Amino acid sequence: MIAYALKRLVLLGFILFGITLLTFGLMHMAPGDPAFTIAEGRYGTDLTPEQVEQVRAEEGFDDGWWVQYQKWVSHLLELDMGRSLVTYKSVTSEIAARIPYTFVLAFTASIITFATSIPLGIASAVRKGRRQDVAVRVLSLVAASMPNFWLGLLLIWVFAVVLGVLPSFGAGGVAHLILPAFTLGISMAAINTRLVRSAMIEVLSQEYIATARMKGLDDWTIISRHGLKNALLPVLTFAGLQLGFLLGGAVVVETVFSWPGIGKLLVDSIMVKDFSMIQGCVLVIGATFAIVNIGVDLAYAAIDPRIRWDVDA
Amino acid sequence: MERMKLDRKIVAIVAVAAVVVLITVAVLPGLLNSAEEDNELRIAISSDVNSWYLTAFPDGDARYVWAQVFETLIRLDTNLDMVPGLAESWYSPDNGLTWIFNLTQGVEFHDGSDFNASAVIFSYSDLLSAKQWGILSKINSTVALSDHTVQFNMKSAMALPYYLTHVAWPILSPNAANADGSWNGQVIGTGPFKLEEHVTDQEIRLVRNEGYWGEAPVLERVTFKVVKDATTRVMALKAGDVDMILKPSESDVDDLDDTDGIGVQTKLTTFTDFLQFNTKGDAHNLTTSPFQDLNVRKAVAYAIDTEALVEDLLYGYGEAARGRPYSPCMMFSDPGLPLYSADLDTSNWYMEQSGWEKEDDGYYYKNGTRFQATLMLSNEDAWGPRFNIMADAIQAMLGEAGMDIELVKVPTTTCNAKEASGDFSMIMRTGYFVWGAYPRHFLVHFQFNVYSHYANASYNALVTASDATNDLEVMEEKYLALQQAVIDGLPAFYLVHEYKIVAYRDWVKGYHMTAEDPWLNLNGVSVER
Amino acid sequence: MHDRKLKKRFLGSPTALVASGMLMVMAFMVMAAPLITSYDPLDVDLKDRLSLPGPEHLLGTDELGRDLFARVLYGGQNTLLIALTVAFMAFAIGTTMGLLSGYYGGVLDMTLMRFVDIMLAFPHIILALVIAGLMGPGLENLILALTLTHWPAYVRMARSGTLQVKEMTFVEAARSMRFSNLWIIRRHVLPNVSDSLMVMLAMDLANVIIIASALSFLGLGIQPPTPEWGSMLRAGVPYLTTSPLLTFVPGAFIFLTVVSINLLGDWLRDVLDPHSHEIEAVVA
Repeated sequence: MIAYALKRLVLLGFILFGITLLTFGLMHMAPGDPAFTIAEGRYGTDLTPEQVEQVRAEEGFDDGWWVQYQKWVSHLLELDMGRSLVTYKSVTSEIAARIPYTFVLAFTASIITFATSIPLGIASAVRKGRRQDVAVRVLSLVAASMPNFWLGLLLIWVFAVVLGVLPSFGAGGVAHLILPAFTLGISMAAINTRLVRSAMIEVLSQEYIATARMKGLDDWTIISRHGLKNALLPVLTFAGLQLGFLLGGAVVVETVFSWPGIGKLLVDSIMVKDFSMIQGCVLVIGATFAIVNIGVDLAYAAIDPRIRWDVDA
Repeated sequence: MERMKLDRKIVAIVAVAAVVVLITVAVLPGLLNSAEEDNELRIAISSDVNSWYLTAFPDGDARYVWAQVFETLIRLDTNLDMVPGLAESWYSPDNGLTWIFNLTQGVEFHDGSDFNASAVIFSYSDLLSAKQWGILSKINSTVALSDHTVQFNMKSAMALPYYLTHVAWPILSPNAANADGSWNGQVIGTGPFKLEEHVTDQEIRLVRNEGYWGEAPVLERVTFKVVKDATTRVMALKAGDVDMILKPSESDVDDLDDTDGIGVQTKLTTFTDFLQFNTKGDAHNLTTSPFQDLNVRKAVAYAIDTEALVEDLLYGYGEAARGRPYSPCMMFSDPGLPLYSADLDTSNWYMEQSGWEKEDDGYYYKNGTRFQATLMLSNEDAWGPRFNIMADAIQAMLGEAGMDIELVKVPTTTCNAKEASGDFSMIMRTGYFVWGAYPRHFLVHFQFNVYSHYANASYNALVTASDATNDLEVMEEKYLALQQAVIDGLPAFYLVHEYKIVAYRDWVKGYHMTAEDPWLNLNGVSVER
Repeated sequence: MHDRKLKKRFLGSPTALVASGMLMVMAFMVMAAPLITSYDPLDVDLKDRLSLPGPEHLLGTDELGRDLFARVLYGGQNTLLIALTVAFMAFAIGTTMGLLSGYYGGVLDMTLMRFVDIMLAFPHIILALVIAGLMGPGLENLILALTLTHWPAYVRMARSGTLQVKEMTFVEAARSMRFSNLWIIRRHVLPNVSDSLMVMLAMDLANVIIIASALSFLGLGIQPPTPEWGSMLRAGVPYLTTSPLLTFVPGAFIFLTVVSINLLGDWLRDVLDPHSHEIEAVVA
């Protein structure tokens, strides 16, 4: 177990290193002279070449990339991700201000997901091959096939335009959360339902379930005592992947609903080519994703030492 | 048998979950709406406040917010005439070479400090934007004649008061500055509302300035919500999520007007949208703009039907400019100016004069090369939702005329960089050096201006002369000549005189629209739900 | 699986029949657009903007008076072109790399897999969004950004399949008989991993359509006036309150295409790869 944990942690360290390298590299592959972009933001369009050179010297763009990278990482370790090229605000504080919004949205969407997918998945598994099962499978497939930006717009049209009962943009009270959370939750629920279903089918085919049945326990008792727990274990393994799904979905959903989370910040920054902000967002999203994934691996290994999921390590 | 039981249980759970969700959806908004405060006005605007200090120009809709918090020496009334603001009266003893302002007494800043001559001197000091930008660089010095009298000494004669009406150059308290003149983070103006909180990209909350010197505002709070997308603003208004919206899309106006409980006001503004040509080509010879040729510029002017733009795209909410650079509500706008009318034959004639021949594919060619040009605009939509669709329509109109136009919709910063390097052939923009009714917009084509892509000596001379006098008759003569020069030389083709559009719920009482764009007058406005 | 058996099962499955029928109709409508509609998707008519569906315009007109039906058909050509190019390029690159990496192992394998780990450490769409954003909008850039972010998933799949096959006796035997490695890969390894890769490709195709149109929707895809489903949707949003069809129609085409592909992929998985884990197919 300890060896496995160490292996995972080394992998995490490596991935984090890779993420910083990739993020750093991406920004330096960006077209245009970064010194010019920064100088333009600082001094306006009426630039002199001296001003550009001054910025280049200050920011150290003349140094080799490895020196620049080290400098960048050492700032990073002090949680200093520089300043926005557009608003001059600290990237760290701007991202910190947005994270709670994404968290609330993702959390609510997850609740919606679990509240719908677990009962539906179980129902579908128990009635495998029957009409109910087919209905759930088709329904989940249909829901999973809906592009979330389109679903979001449809919900806006129904609830904000036609019925006028829900706000269609921004953050505010709970009312503002409903449409974006459902948009994000529905497609995730669709995928999750299928996961719960297949995990449940596997569990229900186990011998101990058959034994329990022979003992005369009714299905409900069997599922609540043995099945559910065992079925949810593999589902939880994919929590990491689901987080990826949530973060990716959040980018689109937050943009559609003007929800002020980190996803919208990323899209807005891309639109105005705010390189330092893009860098910050990508880094935070990538690091969160990697840490949670490894964390899930470790937690899973702790709970169920029989299984080591990772084929590569 | 047991299976049936389980099935029923699951059905029951799903049903209960569905009911809970439905109830939440139906009840929550009602609960939350009660949180609205009486006498709070919530206004949706399209861009955030980018600056609270004089070192940077407030972009886009930031000026509507500035207009509530800060005040200028001179204000404009609904008809764009100058009326006293923080200055009671002003005069020039020597025809524009020096200007003396008598300041309004008994005015306090939001921090309780006194508004006096030193605040004026601070606000127009060298460090701050108006002078940095070169617009007010003709101010040589500012002197306090008494605690409430300031004298501006100009380098040469100039009609200074018109400039001081601009909401972007208001009076700030010196207490907002550090010793070196940089901003210390405080927002201290004299306006009827003061800043309570600013949440980036979301909202700006203002509260009533209880010690306001003028007529006390009725509203207790004004909250500006940043909603970039015009349609979203419309939906927010319809859903009662905000009380007032600025700049809805022109295509939504009739629908809003027909909606019960929503009122719309529109008014011609001083802003005009225009297509600026790159008549100089590129400094680095990377690209060559086909618009160096006046005949080609004329062909464009005859190919674009600005009346169709207004009637068909903007549903009549705008006025076709047909090349006229000044909105009719501007000072000295020439009602007798000869304008362009769309006419593809004339357009074709001008193209042929310069050796462009139309081939079978419907495009112009010269020496085997197809006529190609770019039309660049900002993708940030800050000026108005109409820009996108207007660019699409112009691309189609010029395509119809035989010109292959590529649209380049890029971030404003990219736009600026491409403009600086000359990598464009046309830019679509609006306003520029437009404040109040005073027609300084011509500066944009002045050869030595950053935004200029035109070099014409006689035009330059006219611009210099028009700004070097305080004599209304001389000004009028110069400005009329400048308008003719724009029609003849086409540094830009002017498309549409903008209508300002404000829509609001009918519980907003007492709102009257003013003509100048950045001004949102909330004097006497109340919210009675 | 035998081709004839596959065919029999296909004909016996209503889902597969309906899905492939829908897909064929969709593909035909898109490819044969000039035969179906006489309208030019770029033809602007400012006098006839935002008109409702009627005998003249089947689905009405868009914000510039262009025929919406014609645009959605021609737009599909671009969307499908992007999706197919990306999916096949990612499939080809990823599979080749995965096979080689799994078969030869060693430093190559190690390096490649760590790179893949890093690439997969970002949610798919985010990396694609950033790369497309940095390169600027346009068809080629969109395809490049999507391909760059899509191939690593195939590497993992192909590699883990290869590792399993490699240990099998017939491969060992072939190796000991000094058959060339490439011959072994082609003859023994590929056929054994191809089924699950095919399923993944099918599922991924749907995924690529969604991600590509999401990027276009965010303004990073094909630029106007060229029609494309995602960018049409984006252009329709300002008219959501007055002309919702501009948003509904392109979205519905994306949805119907994706749902057909997913149904077909779902069926294909049941047939070809019944033991595969649900997640691999769904969250490709």
